[in-house]
Amino acid sequence: METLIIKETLRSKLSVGVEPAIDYLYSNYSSMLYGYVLQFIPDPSEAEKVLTQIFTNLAGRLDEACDATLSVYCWMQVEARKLILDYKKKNGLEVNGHANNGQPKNAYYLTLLRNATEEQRTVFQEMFLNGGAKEEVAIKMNKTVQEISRLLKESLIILQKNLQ
Amino acid sequence: MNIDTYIRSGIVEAYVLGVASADERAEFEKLLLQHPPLQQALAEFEIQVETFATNQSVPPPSKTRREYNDFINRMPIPRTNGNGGSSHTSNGSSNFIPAYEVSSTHIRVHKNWRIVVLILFIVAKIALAFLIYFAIKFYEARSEVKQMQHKEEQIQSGRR
Repeated sequence: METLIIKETLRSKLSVGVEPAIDYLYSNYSSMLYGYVLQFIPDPSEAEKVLTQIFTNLAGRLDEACDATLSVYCWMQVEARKLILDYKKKNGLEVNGHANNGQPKNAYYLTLLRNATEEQRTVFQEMFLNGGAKEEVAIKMNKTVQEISRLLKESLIILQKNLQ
Repeated sequence: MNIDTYIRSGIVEAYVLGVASADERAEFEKLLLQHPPLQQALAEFEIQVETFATNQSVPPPSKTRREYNDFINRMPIPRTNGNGGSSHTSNGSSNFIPAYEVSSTHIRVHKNWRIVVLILFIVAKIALAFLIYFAIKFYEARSEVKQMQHKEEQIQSGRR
């Protein structure tokens, strides 16, 4: 399995030291993660700062990646999102990451929701891109938590189908 | 629980993208150990996400790599691996504080110290200027006193 190979490779790099391991991850995943970061933070200079912070933060936690349920890349992506949302909150960055024309500069996952309804897209955006809790989004959209759960589920299924 | 219905509920996607709640994650991880179809669904979606990320990748500017290397050299990062270094519990918390080996000879301090050092520097400069000013005044006054004493001695010797 691809996941096991990467985890085994990461383990072998870690047995040598953290630096070779993080260098290996940077070489393989920095472009993927930079594209991922840009969907949250369209400003390249801010996104570069966050990318540096992501690798610096994860450098001391690579043993967690080896033991995680997720693959190394997906684990990094989940942890990166937490750091990105935290960075945006601390720096008061625009929460929706929209450019002047109302469209995100790097739409990323939103490109997979083109055939979703406006409500499904909004719920996905509020929860995934802005890190909102279901309860918060429910209040914001004047809906019940159950309706938000349903809309999120529907948006995720559409996203998955379009990924195939 | 019907595992196929569970898989189709969007939970795999929520788990991989990080939008599942703590309860949903715990349930997912528990069921994952028991249901190979769920493991397969997870692996498949992970591959789809990684393929999409590869297609959407944007190379960061080369200066980011240099800045990252500089940052790494300044930061205290454990140089040992997970087995020999810090020990983590199942919830991710560390059992003990890891020992760090730092290759850089520089120290890092909070940005606020820059202002403190600047204020101290300005105050020291002002104090030095006052010191020089009063030292000059002191020597001038002492010189005048000496001159006056000398004149007084001359007057007194003239009277005699």
